[in-house]
Amino acid sequence: MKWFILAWQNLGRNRRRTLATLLLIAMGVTGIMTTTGFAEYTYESLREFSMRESGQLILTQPDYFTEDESYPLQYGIDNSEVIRHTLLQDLNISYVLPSVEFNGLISNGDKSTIFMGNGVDVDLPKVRGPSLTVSAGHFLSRSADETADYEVLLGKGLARSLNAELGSGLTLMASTADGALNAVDVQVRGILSTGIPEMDKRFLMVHVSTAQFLLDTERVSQLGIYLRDSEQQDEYQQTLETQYPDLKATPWQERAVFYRAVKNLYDRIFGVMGGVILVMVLFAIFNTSAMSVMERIREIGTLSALGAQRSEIIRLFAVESGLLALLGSITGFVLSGAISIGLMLADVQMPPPPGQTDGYPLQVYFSADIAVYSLLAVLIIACLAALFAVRKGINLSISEALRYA
Amino acid sequence: MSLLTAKGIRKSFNAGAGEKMVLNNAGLNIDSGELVTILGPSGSGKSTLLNICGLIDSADRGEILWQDQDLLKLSVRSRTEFRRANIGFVFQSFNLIPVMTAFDNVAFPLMLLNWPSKKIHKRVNTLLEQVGLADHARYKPGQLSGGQCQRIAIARALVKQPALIIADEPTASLDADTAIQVMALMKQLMVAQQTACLVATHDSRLMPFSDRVLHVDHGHVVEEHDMTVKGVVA
Repeated sequence: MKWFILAWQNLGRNRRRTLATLLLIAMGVTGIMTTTGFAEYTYESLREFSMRESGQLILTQPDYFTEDESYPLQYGIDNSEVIRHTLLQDLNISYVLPSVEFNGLISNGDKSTIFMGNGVDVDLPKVRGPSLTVSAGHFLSRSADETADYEVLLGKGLARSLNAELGSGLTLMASTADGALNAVDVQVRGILSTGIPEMDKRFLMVHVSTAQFLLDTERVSQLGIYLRDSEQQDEYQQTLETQYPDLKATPWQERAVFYRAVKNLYDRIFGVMGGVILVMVLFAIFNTSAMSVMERIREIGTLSALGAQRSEIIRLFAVESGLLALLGSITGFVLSGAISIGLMLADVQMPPPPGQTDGYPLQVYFSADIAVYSLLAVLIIACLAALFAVRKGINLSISEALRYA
Repeated sequence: MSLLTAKGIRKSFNAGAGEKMVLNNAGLNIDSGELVTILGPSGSGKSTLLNICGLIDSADRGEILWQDQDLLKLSVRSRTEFRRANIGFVFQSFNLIPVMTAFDNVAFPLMLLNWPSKKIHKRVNTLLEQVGLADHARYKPGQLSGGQCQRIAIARALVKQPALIIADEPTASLDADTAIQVMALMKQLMVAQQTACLVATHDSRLMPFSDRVLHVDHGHVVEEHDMTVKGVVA
């Protein structure tokens, strides 16, 4: 305690220098907290997006993601409705959504173009939430009118290419599972945006039953399993594979290529930035400690003469630097918390990422974990800086230190 | 009974072209409760001899015997422990810790010895009263005069009741009157505590306070006067 009090008193010797160092540490910690907070927000958003898109677990035939299909739905799932019904009995599973991936030609009578289709369940908007943007019209009807045409949602670019509007009639053509050519008339129910212009030029969405009718099959490509608690993902992966040994349950992370790419990129970028910031903090604290040691060499000699051990003198300077690091870090936490709240209130938008049409809100998460790690890193750096700085003082003989002017 | 005996002390420093011998076969002894003054001109080696006796400098050769134990053979850590327990220091420029109050400066050696807080308060307040600065306990060194600072430094040296006090030019930064007052105070407190004191000075006015005076020149003790015998020194 005595060394702690003395260290605290010593911080007041040169208040301007102490304040400057404290602010530099605070800026460094704020930098680390905001960049990692931004990365955390991005990861969380992408995680949420990816899980909403596919479900936490994707149930398929084992070869579905690894082999090319020779004909549509070669690796599709049979009896999907039975499986779905069974799984929905489990209260921990909120949704089981089938989907059919297919492609073919779409025509307005005058012009034909290729499409990438997705047969989806009408409950899809419930799980996709705001990540599914129907810019005009409506999502697919809950119960299809058997007397009316099948419904289709067109990507923005595809609708423009075919001069299609809401209510326009179009024809979808595709190979059936048996290799025959089939066609179905559809009516435009809505126009959607995937956020990726190139995707919007080819993408369309129909009801699962429409896709199955077009492909002349009862199969679906996959079943997306949406758990109420994501923490149960691993447990349910094993349960599903035990329950359905002919199928494979793939975690969403394995299919979220964009999420993994962004995470790898950001981890590297922000890792290097964090490293640079910590080196700056190291030099700032070292500089302050070194100046303090040079000004107090005679005092170090006095303390030694009075009976303070070298380790106690090192501890004194380490505690001084540690206190600076602690105060600077706390200031940094307050600043980064203020930035986080400020951005939340200001609703600042980031520009669209390359290849995408929509921006996203700039937000910074305040992470308690990152705060603890930052504090520990800055404290360790502060102690190391003090250790290096105080060496000159304690390596002098006491009589030399006492003569030091 | 001899408290400390220095025998055959040699000490040289690197001085540019070659080595400069500062102490050559120097020696002294000091008994418990005795005040011994080392007199000598600048560069005579008196401060170096004092520092070696106070274990804040090392010798190239020789012995510092304390109850038959050669202190120069102790490790750095053990010497520090020894100083902490047995030796108090008074410096020419006081060397008080500027951020600490007078009270904390005096209390510091006791905190190093891990005395309990209550005991520290009692002892420090007694010492501050004895040096006449009880009402200045909360003052910092920057708020005190030179004489007051040196009295605080004396209190700091005596607070742990050490067996020996090392005082290097304790009055050099003080005016003549204050120097005499400070020395008289130091002598009075030392006698009360039966503490021995080794003082290095070139101020001959301090001789009357001494039990013995050693004259050092060219690195060794050239004369010794017993001041307790009347008429030896005029």
